[in-house]
Amino acid sequence: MQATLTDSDPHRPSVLITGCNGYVGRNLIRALEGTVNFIGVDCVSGDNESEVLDLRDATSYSQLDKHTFDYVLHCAWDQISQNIYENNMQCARNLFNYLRHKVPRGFIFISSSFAATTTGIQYTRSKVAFENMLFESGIPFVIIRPDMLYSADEKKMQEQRSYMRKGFAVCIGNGQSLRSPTHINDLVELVHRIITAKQFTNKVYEIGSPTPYSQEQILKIVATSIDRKPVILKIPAFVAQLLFHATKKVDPEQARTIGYDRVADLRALREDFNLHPRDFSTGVTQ
Amino acid sequence: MANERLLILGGNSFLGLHLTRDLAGKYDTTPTYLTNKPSGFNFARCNLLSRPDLHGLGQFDCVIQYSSIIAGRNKKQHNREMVRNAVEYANRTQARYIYISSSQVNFTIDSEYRQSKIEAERLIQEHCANFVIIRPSAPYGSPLPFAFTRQQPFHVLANLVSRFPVVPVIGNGQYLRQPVHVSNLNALVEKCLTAPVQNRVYEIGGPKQLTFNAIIDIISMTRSKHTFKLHLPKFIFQIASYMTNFIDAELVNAVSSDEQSDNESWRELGDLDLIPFEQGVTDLFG
Repeated sequence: MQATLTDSDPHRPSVLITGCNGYVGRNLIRALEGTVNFIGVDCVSGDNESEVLDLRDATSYSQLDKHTFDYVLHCAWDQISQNIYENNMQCARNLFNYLRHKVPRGFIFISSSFAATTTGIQYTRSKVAFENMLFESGIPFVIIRPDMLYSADEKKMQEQRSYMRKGFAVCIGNGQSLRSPTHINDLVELVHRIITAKQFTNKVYEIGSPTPYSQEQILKIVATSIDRKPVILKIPAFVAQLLFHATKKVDPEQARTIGYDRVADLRALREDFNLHPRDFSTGVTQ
Repeated sequence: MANERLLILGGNSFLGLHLTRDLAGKYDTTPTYLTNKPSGFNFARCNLLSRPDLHGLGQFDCVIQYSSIIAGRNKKQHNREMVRNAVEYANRTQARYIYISSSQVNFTIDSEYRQSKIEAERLIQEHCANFVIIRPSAPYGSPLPFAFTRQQPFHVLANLVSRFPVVPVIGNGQYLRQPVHVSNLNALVEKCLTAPVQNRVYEIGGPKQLTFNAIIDIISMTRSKHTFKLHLPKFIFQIASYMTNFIDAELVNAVSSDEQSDNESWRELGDLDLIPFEQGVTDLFG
């Protein structure tokens, strides 16, 4: 069941959203701005920010003093630098220090499906460490772990489609590892339900396609959605790691995790929020 | 008893799944997994490094921990964090805590795995309000219809003996083992669940010590064949350990430590009919 976004609450909650100009942040704002007052924060300017500030800089938080907010929605995350762990921990320490004075009524953290794997890379460790800090903060929370967020306008999806139109698609590793791609609208819907129902359960929720697909199957589904049959080029993980180093578009460490399955466990999501995410095979066209 | 709620951390491990199956009809059990989910038995995902993940599982009367990192890097750090989180969870929820340690804490040759178990036990004894630590020696039992992340040493050995006339042995094979049948281990866990004991350390092994060479001979006899033992130096297995996750280089080094369990340690709980290896060995073949 995919409910549409409607708001029956006349009192619009106020939400501090970090990373408001990123893919997740801007989609959440676009979908929920009719029901939520957002105070957007990002380190780069874009269309959504109320304040431009670097969350690693403790002194910059005074810019937020003039705002009041009920909830925090933390989407900002360093995913590609050399110092992923330290950058994200610096943000985390500053943010929780600041929130000691603001005392929000709830905190939503956009974590990652990587936190449900055994990968020991900086990205995973930083997500798990933040989850623990949030737990220790005493603020009511919900942690969401999406996998491979996508929509028609998502950058990597567009990139793959452009390759497919040229007759090929790129896959790292043997293409057999399982994934549970998460449509951005399912994430939006979950955030909406949490905020409107004020349902901060202090739990972790995984979200993604109920049927997991191998990376190769995912490429074939995307190709079918645009009526293409590309040749799938399989790049060995170590070659991908070198390419990621060179292009700096993706965290090179993530190439090492390509062989891990990431299969979403949706039981808690269904039980607590009655949310049933869409299957990738249908979501890919939406 | 059926109303008593048990949380089995690492229920998807070989020992954890045996216990899950044995207790399924007797207790209200919730086994956990991280990346490799068995079907049935109400498995819940839990990354023990994430405290919100663990606490989100709810309230239990008893927490039984099998989860442990056996091979690879950062064993000590990760095992310590996992135990610390589980102890904190058990204390906070006032649950009894049963930790499945290892006979390797008594090995004379050190390893990071051994150190991680020693430190885990110390942490439990210093901080846990109500605990039992069990140190099984070389546990074995029937194979289960599930693709475990890591193959069981006894099953690999049985398979080698069945298929080949020659079996490689680390060193001279004179080191002692005291293999305990998994049904004996599970019976001890059950005794711990029902007996009013707390803050104890129990060791459990088979009824007698056997050299590794004798273990191979016993397995061979059940297959009515003679197996030639090819004794090879440790370094060859250490090189091989880099090509498979089955053996860990450190454990290869520690393998020549003798194993001796104090089966008197749990006599206060009553008798257990310890299964001789000569009798239990047939279970290795299903």
